[in-house]
Amino acid sequence: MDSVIKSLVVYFVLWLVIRSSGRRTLGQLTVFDFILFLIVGGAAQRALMAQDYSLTHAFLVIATFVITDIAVSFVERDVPSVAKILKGVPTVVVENGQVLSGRLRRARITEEDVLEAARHSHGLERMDEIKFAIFEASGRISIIPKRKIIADDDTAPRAD
Amino acid sequence: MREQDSRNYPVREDMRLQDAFWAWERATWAVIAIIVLIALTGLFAHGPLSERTVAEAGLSLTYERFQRVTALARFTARISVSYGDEASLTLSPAFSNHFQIADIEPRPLRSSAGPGGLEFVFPAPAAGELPVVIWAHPRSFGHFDLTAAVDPEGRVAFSILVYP
Repeated sequence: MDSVIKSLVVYFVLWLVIRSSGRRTLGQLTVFDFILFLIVGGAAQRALMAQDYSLTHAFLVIATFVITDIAVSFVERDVPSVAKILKGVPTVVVENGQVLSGRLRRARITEEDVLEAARHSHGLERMDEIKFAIFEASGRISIIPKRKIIADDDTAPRAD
Repeated sequence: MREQDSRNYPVREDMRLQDAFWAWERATWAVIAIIVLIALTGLFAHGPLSERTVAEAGLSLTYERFQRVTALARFTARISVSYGDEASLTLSPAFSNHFQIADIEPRPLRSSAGPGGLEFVFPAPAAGELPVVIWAHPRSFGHFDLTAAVDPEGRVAFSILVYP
């Protein structure tokens, strides 16, 4: 019984802490963020396993995590209002080349982060080439350029 | 359109929810920071607020009043020895119910368990004080009222809060 209860508590505490640390940490993992997540995982693992390294306990912990995650995904699919709270909502941070600086500041991302995403996805050089930059719920920055770019590789959008 | 207004294109925004989330995010940071500061004081074990000493007649006991389940904790008993070649220390039954003893320094000559609890008998120094260090792990979490006693007199009551 305690395996299941401990796993549920750790799942929701981890969700709360990682969610409150912001989307920034999910989409833009630096090397240090990566190490931080390893440490968080290690601490949670030690708390979960305590002195019980049995196969049964390990299986119960894994099963509880997986079934909780599946239950949360069903809730996200079927209850949009809860999904918005659990997953977050997308936020426009650049609109017709204009930076919405208040939103950028509160989301803890910089203009340089937006330009980096613009360079990476569309090879854009300047902010005024961006029609929309959207800070997605996943933590990534999506860029919609002002003009469609005809690219010669398969990953870029095609102008058919 | 103002910055705080929700856009419907290219994505459907909910800036009221987003603002509420950003506010909640900052409140959570404050709570986490407070938890870290409290931890530095020892309120979650291992710190100045946690360590406590209780003394009565021939016995003084230093222990951590905040502990964590399964984490090793140190109990230091100082037993005043005035006569005899042996000194005894008795821990209440609740101690053996909720704690697992990992080590005792010095090693007792003998130990026994009974309705009165765990009794340890140590070789006594010629005179003065016998320090006894007990290392133990809390087995379960909760609040425990415990006692430690020495012969012929000296009995201290202490309580420990064990975090999960």
